[in-house]
Amino acid sequence: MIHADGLTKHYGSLVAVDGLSFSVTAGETFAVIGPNGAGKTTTLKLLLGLARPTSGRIEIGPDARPPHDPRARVGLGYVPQRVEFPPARTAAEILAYFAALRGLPPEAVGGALARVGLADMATRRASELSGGYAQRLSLAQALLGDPALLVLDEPTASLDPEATWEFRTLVENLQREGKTILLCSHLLSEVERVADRVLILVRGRRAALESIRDLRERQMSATRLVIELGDGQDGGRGVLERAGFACQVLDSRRLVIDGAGERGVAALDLIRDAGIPVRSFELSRPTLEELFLSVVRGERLS
Amino acid sequence: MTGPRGNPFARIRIIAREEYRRALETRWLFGFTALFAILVLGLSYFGLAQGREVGFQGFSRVTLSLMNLVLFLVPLTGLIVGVGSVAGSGEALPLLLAQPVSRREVLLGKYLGLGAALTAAQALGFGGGGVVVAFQTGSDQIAGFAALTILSVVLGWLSLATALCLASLFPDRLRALSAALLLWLGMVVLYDIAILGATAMLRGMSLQVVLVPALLLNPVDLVRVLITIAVGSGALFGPTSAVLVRFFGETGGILLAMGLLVVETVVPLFIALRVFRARDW
Repeated sequence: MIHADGLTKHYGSLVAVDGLSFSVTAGETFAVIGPNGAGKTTTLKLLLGLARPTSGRIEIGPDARPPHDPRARVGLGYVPQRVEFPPARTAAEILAYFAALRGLPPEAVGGALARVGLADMATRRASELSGGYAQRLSLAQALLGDPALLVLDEPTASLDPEATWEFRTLVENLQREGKTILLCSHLLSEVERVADRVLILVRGRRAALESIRDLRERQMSATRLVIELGDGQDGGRGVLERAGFACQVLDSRRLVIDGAGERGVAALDLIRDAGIPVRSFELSRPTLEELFLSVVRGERLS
Repeated sequence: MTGPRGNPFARIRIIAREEYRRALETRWLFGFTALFAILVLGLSYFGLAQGREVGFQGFSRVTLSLMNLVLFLVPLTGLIVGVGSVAGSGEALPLLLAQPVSRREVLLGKYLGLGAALTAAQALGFGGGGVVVAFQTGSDQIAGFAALTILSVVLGWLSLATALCLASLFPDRLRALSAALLLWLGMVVLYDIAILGATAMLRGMSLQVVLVPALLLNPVDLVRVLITIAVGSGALFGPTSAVLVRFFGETGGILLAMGLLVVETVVPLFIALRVFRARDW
């Protein structure tokens, strides 16, 4: 559905995107994340045909056309981060304009509004719509003509938690319909919830491209057990090290061992069998944000 | 490059209609219509107020008084409205460009929509005011007033084309507006001062050699000369009148002048299309 190969974009002496290659398959939800200035916006502009690459190529759709070809954009719907629709215009009138541009009949408007749960808001003016409803209207606009590829640029960045949840639910429904979705976001919780794969950009380059499943496995394998002992950590540490556990001392009472699940239970059993009182224990798992930051920092150091 | 479905003219019409509608919604169209009508009626009614007389005056006086205001206002209006529709329009322009439409269709649609709105403001404003003046004073010299209205419309389209060219060259709104204001100042004030200076320095040279080419290059001056001659007040140009009336007062001169106004509209529009199509947004 999307194929980028050696994509490079220069703005004068600034290299915004540097030799970026990735592919997105049909039906996949693909997230692009990265710190500020990483090249997310430029990548998105190249994908939408708003900018042309300095070198390399990007193709979208089943016919593999470059996005600056209007024919390629027939199968593409775009939801910007925030768009201000004409305030005096009703939701139906706003969609009617975009439907006409796509050569669609007026009936397409009702269908698009219904898909985002705005069927009863057709006569509501844009100025009367809340942020969440306005963003749904933006999604309805993107769904006109039923494009196979949806590009969402930080769609929930300006929404409150409830509107965010409702919008994500809509996106999940579209995933189930088999839409290919490219999501640009800095909200890792959003990416974690909806994406299949994630591309991490740092300084315009691909720092990592991983599936969310692999990230979760890494997250699990990096899980640590923190044990607080009643009589200080020395006794417990000796017991565990003799049994082959690598221990890390946090302070006078607390120990940390790598791994969770059966390994953690076994460690706790050993300490208890040795008669050492355990005051408390907890699992410490790196968040997706920490994994993301470790990739970003690693790339920056390199 | 053509778009995917339907014909490109249909999409240009849709975008033009949208621009026109936005002009209605944002009320600048009403504002300029009212301004033009007030200018016509005010200049006609209070034109002789300095002589402690008020009352409607005929088209001859109104047209010449109105001309100087129109030559200031219309280019400024066209430049500001045109720049604002492209430069710094937030997410609206990227969203439009991400639709399955070509950039040429987008820019031409915007140009036609804005041009239609500005034309409507001028036609209604001048036309409405003109009807009142005609009822009060009769239709004597109305041809000059009609020429002013038509040339004002032409100047509006020319200014819009220039504005779209500037907005394509400078997508940042502040830079585009600064460039537009500088150009406006140059066309309506600085150019004339420069020409006056040049003619003073080149004393002894034939007027045709200096003045006529200089007037041809600045559309504001060209429109001023055409309106003045249309009103039959060519003598206002003083000693140069013979040259100007002889050059622009005949069919050939008028055609040349109108042709140049068309060229001065088409060239910036062509540049705008080329730049708008190639640049990153």
